[in-house]
Amino acid sequence: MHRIKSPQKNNKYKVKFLPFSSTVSVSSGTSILDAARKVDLFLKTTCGGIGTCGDCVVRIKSGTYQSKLSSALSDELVRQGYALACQTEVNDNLTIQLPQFQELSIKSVSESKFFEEHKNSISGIYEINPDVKSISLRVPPPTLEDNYSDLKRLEREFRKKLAIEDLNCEYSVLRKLAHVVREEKGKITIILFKQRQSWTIIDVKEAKAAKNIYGVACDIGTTTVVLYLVELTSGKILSTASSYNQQLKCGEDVISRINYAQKPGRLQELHKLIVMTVNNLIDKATQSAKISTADIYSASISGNTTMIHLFLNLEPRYIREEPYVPTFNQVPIILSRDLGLKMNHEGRVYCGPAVGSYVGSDITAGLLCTPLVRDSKKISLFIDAGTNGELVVGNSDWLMTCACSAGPAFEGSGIKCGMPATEGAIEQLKIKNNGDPEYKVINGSQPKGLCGSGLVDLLAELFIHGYIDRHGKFNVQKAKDRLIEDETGTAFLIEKANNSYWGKDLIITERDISNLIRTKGAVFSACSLLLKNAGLTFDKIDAFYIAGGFGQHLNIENSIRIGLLPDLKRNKFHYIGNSSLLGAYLILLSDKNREMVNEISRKMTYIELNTEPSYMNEYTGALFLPHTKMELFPSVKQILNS
Amino acid sequence: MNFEIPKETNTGKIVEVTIGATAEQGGTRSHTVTIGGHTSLPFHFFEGEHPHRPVIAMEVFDKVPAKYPGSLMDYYHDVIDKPADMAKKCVEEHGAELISVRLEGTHPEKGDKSADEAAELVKQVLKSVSVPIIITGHSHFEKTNEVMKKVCEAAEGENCLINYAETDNYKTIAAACIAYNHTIVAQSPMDVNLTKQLNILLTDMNFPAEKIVVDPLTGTLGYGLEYTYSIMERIRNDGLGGDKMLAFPMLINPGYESSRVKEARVSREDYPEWGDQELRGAYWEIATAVSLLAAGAELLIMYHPKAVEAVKKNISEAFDLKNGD
Repeated sequence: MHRIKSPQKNNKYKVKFLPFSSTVSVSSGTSILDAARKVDLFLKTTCGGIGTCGDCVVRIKSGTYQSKLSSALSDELVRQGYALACQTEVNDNLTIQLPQFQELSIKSVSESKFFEEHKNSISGIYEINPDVKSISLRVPPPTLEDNYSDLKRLEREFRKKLAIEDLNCEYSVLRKLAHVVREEKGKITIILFKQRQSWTIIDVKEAKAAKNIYGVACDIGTTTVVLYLVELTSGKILSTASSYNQQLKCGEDVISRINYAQKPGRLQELHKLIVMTVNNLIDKATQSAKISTADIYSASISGNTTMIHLFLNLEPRYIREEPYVPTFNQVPIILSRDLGLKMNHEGRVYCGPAVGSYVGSDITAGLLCTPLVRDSKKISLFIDAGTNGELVVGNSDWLMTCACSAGPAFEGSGIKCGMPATEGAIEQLKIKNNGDPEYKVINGSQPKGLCGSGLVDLLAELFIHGYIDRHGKFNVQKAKDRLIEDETGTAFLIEKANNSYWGKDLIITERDISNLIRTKGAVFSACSLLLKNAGLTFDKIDAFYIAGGFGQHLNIENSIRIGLLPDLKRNKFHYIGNSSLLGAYLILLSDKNREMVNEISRKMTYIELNTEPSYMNEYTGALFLPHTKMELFPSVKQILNS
Repeated sequence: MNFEIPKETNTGKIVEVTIGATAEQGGTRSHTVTIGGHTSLPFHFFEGEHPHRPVIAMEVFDKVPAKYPGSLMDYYHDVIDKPADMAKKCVEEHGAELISVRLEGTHPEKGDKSADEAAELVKQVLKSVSVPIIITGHSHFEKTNEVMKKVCEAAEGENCLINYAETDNYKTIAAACIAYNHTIVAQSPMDVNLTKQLNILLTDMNFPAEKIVVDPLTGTLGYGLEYTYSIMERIRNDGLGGDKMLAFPMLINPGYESSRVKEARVSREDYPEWGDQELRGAYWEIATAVSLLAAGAELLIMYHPKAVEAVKKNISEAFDLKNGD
């Protein structure tokens, strides 16, 4: 790898970047960093390209190169072919593997920012090694001399490739086998599922059939459900799909769903609704990627404990009854046909581990994609501001967690013009001096409504510009030109009917505003209490990871202005989007990640806020903009005074 | 060896609030009433200044209250429907230091009297007594806002105590108070933060701090008194600890609250083992009032003449001790 060719001046070399197959031709002496930029691959360089931060690490697969020495890269990594893009010049044709998450950070809709920041640290740790694999074989036809059974011959050929002792076969494979091995001169593809040392053949296909195998990663939220369709061998995300959870009509939060499930037949109904929701998303995703659902062999699901109970058709009532015990913490691997999922009927479904009734696999999976669980020095706080808000504080040595009922406002539910962060949602907003809002819509069309990040912006702007008071009530004098009377009371006009997608006024009512204030208050007060329980204060926290269905651009400044987040150095905050989904994706890709998430779940200590006498006091204190105790928000105070 | 009482020192001081206005001050009251101004917990005379005593107001009605206890009727049957006369009786015979005019009859479901009628009534009461006046509204904000605007205008310059504003209607009430120079009651439901929030909202709209009295919305004996007590105590502690937004004098309603509970109202015939209704009613009010005095109440709106007498005596004795008598 380290052969050094003497550089030849003014030569042009080709640089290929995997996994995109983007190729660029550059003059000798160009840095890999600059070469990457030419094909719109922007590697992060915190140090500005002087070789000290180590952010722009890449792996060189072929070609000779020489890097300047840098302390940011360990000798071990250098030996493995890693190099800093800014410190390595192109003097040969090179094939470069970008860190695994480079692709996600560019292609995926919702998470780019976080992965731009953290892809390198993550890519060093995770590998693609899914538990479903496809292998091509040629099974010779039987003869009088070689009269072993079809399956025996298949196993024999397989063992030539992989020396696996414990090999099993599903019944459905046997039913097809005789035909399949006799087509195309015995050229076949087998699909295997690996669990620890044991392998099971779950499908067999003729070689001409599609070879690729797929998986889905899915986050089942109380309000929204989001799914990635993933090509399993490369880890590439082919398409994404999201929708509301169809159970919404049976209650907005987990407690009302559990209550709903208590009448005969209702659990079955909720189960069917969520399976239908997921199946619709699988349909959407497979259609847009033009693949067959029968080629999906693996699913990784994360969600809060109640959602997973309902998804698995399990009795949820004990979650809400003292002492709040769920049916499971770790779920065995389930066959897709047992759940009725639209995938290969032998497909395997994995649900992440829960910590307790109110901290589910959405959190354990979410933690998997933060540095929090790998750093033993820094103390971080992880906040998932979903319908059911969950918080985790700690590091790789200890984790403490609690849950609070935040409400679905930031996911766009329970707000008149709220919507999830999908096409047509206002995701960023500013109010100009003349009172007119100026906004950015996802995919640039006419606005349909506001998603969480847009609502945070709106609330902060209304407050900072004095359109609402600290209690969230309209300041009629100031706002009078934009106030209209709606059947639910006074409302602030964001966009007139003729400019909106649905042809209706986009408004926010006082009721919406108090809803948002209650939600942010629940999250903030739960944070304060969790830290109190851990004997910490906000200033002792080195990093905050904020997850949730806000949308792509949660504005940290505005989140602080409304008192959702504490008033600390802005660079401590990292918005990581839907981390539950990303966690499910990581679990789908590698069984190591699955082990790690199980370990995370075992490390967590759960704190029950219900029994905390000071909860109510913390909560009502947070029901104000930004907080009743203004001294907690010095930077906001300064803005208001100026 | 002399015993030294350990002393707390506080950085905060409760705001001094004056109710009523004399002729020089633009009103027609013979005198004004001032509360607040202390620098230590109630009756902790050894720790701080206590320039003013807690005061007792009594209440008259624009409409005979539906749940008025029978034993109180014995005192007021001849004047209960003549609020101006009842006010006079309360002041002259029972020693009321202020009069509260409760305008329950303007509530759309309880008589729907007009704002003009209410304003007229307030004027009559102002004429019949010379003590400062409290004007007490109800929870129908739309109507109460309308009534209070009229009443504030009618009583311009008298520096009445307008009772009450909540977070949902404070702007209208506060604006009327500012326009016609009255003092306001900021009412919040038994919560330190909510109390503080309303005070912030009021001062944010430039409402003068020395014109705010807080009603923490108290319960009576047997109906959450302990909770009320601890909330008031925390408000007081925070105020004395330097939180300016919690350093306002507090008003309570032991008369109204006690008159509504079964234990204080039902007759001896129905509950013989509970004893004499009149005394029971009075005791109920006394127990509530005296407990909350210790938690920091400074303006008490009371109903029962016997309770008024007892609580006044209690206050006097405490303050006499302070003065070394």
